Amino acid sequence: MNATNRALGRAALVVVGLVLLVLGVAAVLVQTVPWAASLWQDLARGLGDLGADASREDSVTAWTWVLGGGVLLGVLALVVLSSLGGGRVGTVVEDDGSAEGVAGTVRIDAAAVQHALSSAIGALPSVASLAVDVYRVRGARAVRIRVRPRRGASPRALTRSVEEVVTDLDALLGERLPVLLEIARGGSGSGREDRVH
Amino acid sequence: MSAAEGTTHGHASVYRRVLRRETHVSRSGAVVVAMLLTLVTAAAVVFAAVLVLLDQNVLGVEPRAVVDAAARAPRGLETTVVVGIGAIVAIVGLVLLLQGVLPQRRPRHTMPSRRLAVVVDDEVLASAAARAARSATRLGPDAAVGTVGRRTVDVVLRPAAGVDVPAVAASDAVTAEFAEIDAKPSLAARVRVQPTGRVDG
Repeated sequence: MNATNRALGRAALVVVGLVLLVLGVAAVLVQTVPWAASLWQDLARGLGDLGADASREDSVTAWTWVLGGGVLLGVLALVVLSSLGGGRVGTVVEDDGSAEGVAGTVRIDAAAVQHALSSAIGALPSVASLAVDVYRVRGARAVRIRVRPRRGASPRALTRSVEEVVTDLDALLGERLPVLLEIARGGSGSGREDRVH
Repeated sequence: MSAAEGTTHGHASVYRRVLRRETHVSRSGAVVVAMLLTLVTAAAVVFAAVLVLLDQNVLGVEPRAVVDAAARAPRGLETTVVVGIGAIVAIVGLVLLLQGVLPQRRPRHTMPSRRLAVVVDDEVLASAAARAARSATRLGPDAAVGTVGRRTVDVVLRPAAGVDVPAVAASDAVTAEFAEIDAKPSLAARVRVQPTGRVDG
């Protein structure tokens, strides 16, 4: 649920994958197939300026382009890397209530919502452990509740209980935040049976 | 007033996005590998260019001579080395390409809810199925095993030798449980009783 730009990541994977695949296959073909070798040698004449036989001026111009290309490539890679992760935020609601004409702002920290939800949901008998985080999704705040239920717990009953808790939270905040409930496997205590069915 | 509108119309678009992301695998690991490869390549290219521009060489290797050697290929190159390296590069490229192209689902289902976006791990569904099947019988905790695929849920009951199992009741219980869960994509329940009995102590 983090802010990773997945479309960008997949596009980068496709581009890098294609380039490596083409380079690898081309290297094998040039080395083993005669027509590929002659094709390559025709093409490689265009690399003359990068070679040792070129004049100093041609050489400097050609390698300056190479330098620029390398720097550009590195910057692009860093841009893609920096798009990974992030998106967790510390504030759930920030409202200056300007419509009412009263000075001051109300800010509700993520920690308040985390504590409220944790104590309410953690008290449910079918919950073994849980984690609550607040993320930024499309400019809005969204809460993720990750619950690890005990073995055999009914997902529908659990969902219904969490719905009730979240409805209470809505009343408390005066705002209906988007909430993701993730019912995950494993975790401490989940091996133990729910004792009352 | 846009915030108020958002609350009255629910969070359909946020929920769609969140659920799609939660039911598909993140490629961030592969992206990191691809970008590190790209960074190393970029650094090598920049280093080579700087060497040429300063008219230097490292360990007697001159980037311009390397370009000349590559341009003369396949003459003067060891075939096995080139083919080996080329094959490795091609395979790495293919793996990264497939990582980017293939849709990779997580073993998860979503559940409709009037207030929340809900995703459930298949393992949780399987354990709920096993519990439901068992609740209609009088079997012990480890006598029922559930398996959840994308569209099916299978429960295998393994009663101790000589114990009679109400298979229809168990099947009904699982079907009722999953009708209530209402997972998307929908799951068809099937309960089997394993005929080879166990011997319990």
